[in-house]
Amino acid sequence: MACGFSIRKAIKFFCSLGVVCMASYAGWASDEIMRKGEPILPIPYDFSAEPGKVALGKRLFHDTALSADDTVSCASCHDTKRFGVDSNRTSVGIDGQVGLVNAPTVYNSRFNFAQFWDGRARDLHDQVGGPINNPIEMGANWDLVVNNLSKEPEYVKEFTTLYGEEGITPQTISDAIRTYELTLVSVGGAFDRYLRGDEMAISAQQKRGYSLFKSYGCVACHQGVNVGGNMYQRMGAFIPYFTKDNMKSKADQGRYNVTQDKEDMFVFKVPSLRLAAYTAPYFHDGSVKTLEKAIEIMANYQLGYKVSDQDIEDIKAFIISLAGTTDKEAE
Amino acid sequence: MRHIHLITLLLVVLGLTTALSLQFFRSESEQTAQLSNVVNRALETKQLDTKLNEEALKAASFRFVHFDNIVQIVKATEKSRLALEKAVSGLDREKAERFHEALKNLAQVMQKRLTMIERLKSKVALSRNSSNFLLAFLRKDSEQPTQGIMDLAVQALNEIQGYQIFPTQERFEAAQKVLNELRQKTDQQEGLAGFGNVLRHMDMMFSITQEVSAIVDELMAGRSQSLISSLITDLQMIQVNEQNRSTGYRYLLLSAVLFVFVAFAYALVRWNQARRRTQQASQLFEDAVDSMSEGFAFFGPNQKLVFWNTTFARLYEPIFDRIHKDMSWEEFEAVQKESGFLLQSELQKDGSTLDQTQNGYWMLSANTKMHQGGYAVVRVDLSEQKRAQDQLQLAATVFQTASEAMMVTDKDNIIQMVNPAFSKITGYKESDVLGQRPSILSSGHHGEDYYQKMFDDLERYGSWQGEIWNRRKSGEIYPEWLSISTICDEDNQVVQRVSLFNDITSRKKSEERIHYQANYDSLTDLPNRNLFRERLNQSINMARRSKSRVAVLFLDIDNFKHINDTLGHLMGDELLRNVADRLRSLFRTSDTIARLSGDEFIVIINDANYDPDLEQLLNRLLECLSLPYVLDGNTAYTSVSVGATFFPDDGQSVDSLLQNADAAMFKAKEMGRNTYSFFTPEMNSRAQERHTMEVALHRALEKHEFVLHYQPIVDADSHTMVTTEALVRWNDPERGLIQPDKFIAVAEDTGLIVPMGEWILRQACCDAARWHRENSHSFGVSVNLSSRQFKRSDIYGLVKEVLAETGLPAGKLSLEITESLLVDDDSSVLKTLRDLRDLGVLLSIDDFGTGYSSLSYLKRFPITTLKIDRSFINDVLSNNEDAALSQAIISMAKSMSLKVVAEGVENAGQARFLTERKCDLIQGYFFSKPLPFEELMSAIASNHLNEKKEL
Repeated sequence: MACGFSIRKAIKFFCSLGVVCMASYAGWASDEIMRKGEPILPIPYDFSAEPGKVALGKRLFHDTALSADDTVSCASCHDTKRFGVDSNRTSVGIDGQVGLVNAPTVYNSRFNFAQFWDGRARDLHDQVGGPINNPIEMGANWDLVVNNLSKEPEYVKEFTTLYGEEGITPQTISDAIRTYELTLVSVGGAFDRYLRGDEMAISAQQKRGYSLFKSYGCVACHQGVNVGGNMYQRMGAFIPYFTKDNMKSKADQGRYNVTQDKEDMFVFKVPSLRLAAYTAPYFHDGSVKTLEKAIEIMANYQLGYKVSDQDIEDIKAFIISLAGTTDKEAE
Repeated sequence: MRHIHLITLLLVVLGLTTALSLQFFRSESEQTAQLSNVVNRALETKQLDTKLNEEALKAASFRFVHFDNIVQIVKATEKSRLALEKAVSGLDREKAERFHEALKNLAQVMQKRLTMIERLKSKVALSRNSSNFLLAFLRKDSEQPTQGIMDLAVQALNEIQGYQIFPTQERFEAAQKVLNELRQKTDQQEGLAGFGNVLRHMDMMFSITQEVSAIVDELMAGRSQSLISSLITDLQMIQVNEQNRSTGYRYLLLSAVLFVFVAFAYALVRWNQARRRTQQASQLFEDAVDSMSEGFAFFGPNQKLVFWNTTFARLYEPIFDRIHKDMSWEEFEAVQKESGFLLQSELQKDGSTLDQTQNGYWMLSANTKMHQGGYAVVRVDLSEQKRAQDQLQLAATVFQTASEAMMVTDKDNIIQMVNPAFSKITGYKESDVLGQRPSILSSGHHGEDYYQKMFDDLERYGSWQGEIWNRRKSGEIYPEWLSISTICDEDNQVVQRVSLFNDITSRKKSEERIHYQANYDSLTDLPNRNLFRERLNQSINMARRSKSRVAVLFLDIDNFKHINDTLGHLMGDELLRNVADRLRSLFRTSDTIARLSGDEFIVIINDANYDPDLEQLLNRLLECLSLPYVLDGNTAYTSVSVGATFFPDDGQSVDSLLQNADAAMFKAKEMGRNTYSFFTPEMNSRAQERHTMEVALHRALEKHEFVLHYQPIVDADSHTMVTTEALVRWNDPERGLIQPDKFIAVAEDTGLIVPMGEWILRQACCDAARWHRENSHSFGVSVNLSSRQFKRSDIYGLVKEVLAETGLPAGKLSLEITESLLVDDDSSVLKTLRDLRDLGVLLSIDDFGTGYSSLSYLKRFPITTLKIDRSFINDVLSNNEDAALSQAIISMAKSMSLKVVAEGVENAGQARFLTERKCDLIQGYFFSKPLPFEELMSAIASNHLNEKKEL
């Protein structure tokens, strides 16, 4: 290539391996005094969603009519009063059937780049149909759900008002639920206040935890607004976590189940840590009960570190500061 | 008779219009809009796809902080491609099929790209972790294995990182070699717990680098760009063809429809009149004899024809020769039948018939049997009525199928009829508007005056046409071309008004395009100089009122000419587009970014202040624009120089602000590029100052006011003096000793550098030769050569001459040149340098790392030494990045067998740092400031300089 190559710039690559000092590309328009160049971004303030659809979506989300035997609703596993999870190791569907994976929180799911542990749904809209049609979750099918809802005059009226002639269809049901889910965001986290310039918002221990979180390299995968949820990574990137022998279910194969590509074996969507402090148990199989243990396993299998108990405590304190409240469910 | 002509003409036009309209007009405008929608989607997809490459490259260079941006772009790209597919499926079948294959390919290729990007993200995250881990491990003092292994580990990391920067086969092998060596060493040693992870991390980093580089290669070579480009070209070809075809039809049809419709309305009126007359006719039947406007004949009680009137004769004209008095009723009927006089005959409810005659009349025939026998025969001429009716039917077809909206209002301006096109354009159904006033469509876009003028024109001329903005039912405002005609009755009283309009949104768009071309730069889509001036004027006016400030930034791309020359104009254009995109991402929409010409951009920031925010913005601007550019798969590096000025502080007019910003930009260029400079009033008087300086310099040269100081350069380990750098000072009788940064630039600009440089070289060599003779110290001297000097004079001849004159051994003279000399890639420069090297003279690169240079160049030139710029050394202890940079330069120089000199070493910490990292030579105040010749001599004599300093 005839093009010149600045040595200074070339060498800069080198530095940025360790020292990440880039300011983000984002526009200048923001009025906030934001900490620049941080790998974690605060959750934005502004969410506008059509109130009518939000209300409808909320009703649908909590309605057992979406399941085969009228026993399970979305909220059964994603309890919006309990940080959007059921706190079970894996979730229980209709007829008491136990699923293979741990229910991730519905909060902040709008910030995930794909949905489900293996990323098989492109977005929230595509996600809705998953659990509904899954025989061991809600065990229903779209025809049944549309039929159930069409029996209730109130639903018919609401859907007609909001969606006109289209009425009750898989598309409109998904849209309403998606719209509701867009409003499920945890806000006001101490760490976000810190990112927005409030130096006192987090404790010295939490600052230490953040610094460790960065220097150990946790932040290489858990970054962005959602502190995760924007890339895939192998479970056991440094030291193999799963092998063919210790696999417990097909779910452990992760993204391989979607792509059938060997490279994707044991690869999962990096989960958001925003509400990690309150959404035990951990990992896709819910196999780990405490955050401390989860941090220890991650450090070991992903990064090759044996982390001290003190460091784990500090990192845990930092993770707690990420959460914010989930009370402000959209009205 | 005039009506007959008119109606004939009308019929012809009607036929033509209906036929053409039905076949073509209805779908035509929709298709055009859809086509341009497809093109826009495709362009958008292409743009996003390019951006994706950029982001991928950024990630691959490990310069990412988080992945939210890349995720957003991935999402947008996918969305855009799906929108493109949807838009194409909306085209007519032939076209949609034509693109089906291409879209399928594109989907596949892009899907694959997205998969690769996901993989890239995972890999770079892992690599960053390994690099983090290793740096942390090697920095730790505890639990270290032997020093030998530690050194080897550091070397391995260096090699791997080197390979990461330049993934060449050579470096690959070198890294592999060191890694193997390290593995062997650690295998031999017992009890290296914890070191296993180090090796594993190194292996991972190494293999990831290979994978990342392969992914990037594949991403950059991807076919997506060419696929979209050829798709866009195809689409645009179709677009151009269709536009050419449709413009012609459009005008023809428009005028035809307009004509037909007015005629139709006219026919309506006529029909009304005719109907009225028919009613009269039936009354007149009673005294038919007196009536002359209906045909009348009378067969007497004996059934013989006794009487007819002239109208009857006229109606029966073709067979009249066979009609005669006293013919019987039966005879008359037979004649009518035989001659085929009646072409057709429709029985009416009342027993009369409506007959069409040979000679083209339509007549209502009533034969009434008389009470006393015989017949009264009445023939009413309904030709006109019948024609009007047919016409009405045809017109109604046009009314229903035309693509123009039509609206009929009565004399009180109440809507009476609208056609389907009206509903299509306005969104109002017929039932929504009947009985309403046309003001229901009003958008509020026009004032009272506008409508008043319209009504005045209608009153006065009976018609109006023009462009008007109306509101659709959906609330959307759109432009239409509206023609209103008035229908009057015989008494000239308004009966109806007919409005005909077209949605001209698409035409407006093309007008906008013309406006766009006059005001925007087609390459970058940024405002051009024209619009920039306009906007700046507006900003100035606004700022005057609100008493705020406006900042004007003048940007010039550094080394643009070089990129243009080496990569070609197409790449140059691509670079400009990239720069424009980045600028757009940096500024608010309320700011104006314009391209003035060539590689000059300008930004207007309203409501700006000279404050940290602005400086932060400027820093971000520099940083953002100096990121690598991916130009058609090639990576290019450049930066910008920015000049900033403020209204009202620095200037009051567009011109003065522009001039100021330009001057400040030049200042930034002088300051070494990739920087910004604020305008100061001194810049105006700079030309004046320069002139004064020039005169003074000439005098100084004549009066020998220049002196040389020598700064020792010492061995990093032993601290013994090895050589010196000759530095020029100006001993001005009035101002005292002046540093070179104050006058070298002027000397270079004026060409005075040539004689000055010659003097410096001669003096330095002369002094060095004297040390040699008098002290038997064998240190050398290093002399700076300016690029100007190099190009304007015969350096080789001069050096050879001076060496001969002074008797200094060539190996004791080192010439310092800057990177900028090498970048120009001038074969004569290369030759001169080789000749000098052949003489035995040493060549070193000064200020290394600050400029725009290239490794391949360095290899090609016979360089012996690198001098690391003082800016790196300054912060080597406080700034990890600078530390890493310095270390990288040293190890790189080593790998190329170059000596390294560190400039600007001011304290023990820096010296220690450099010594530890195997820097060869050190220069700086920590050892000695530059000294006059005599002082240096006495310092050497007293052996001061050779004392080893405590680090």
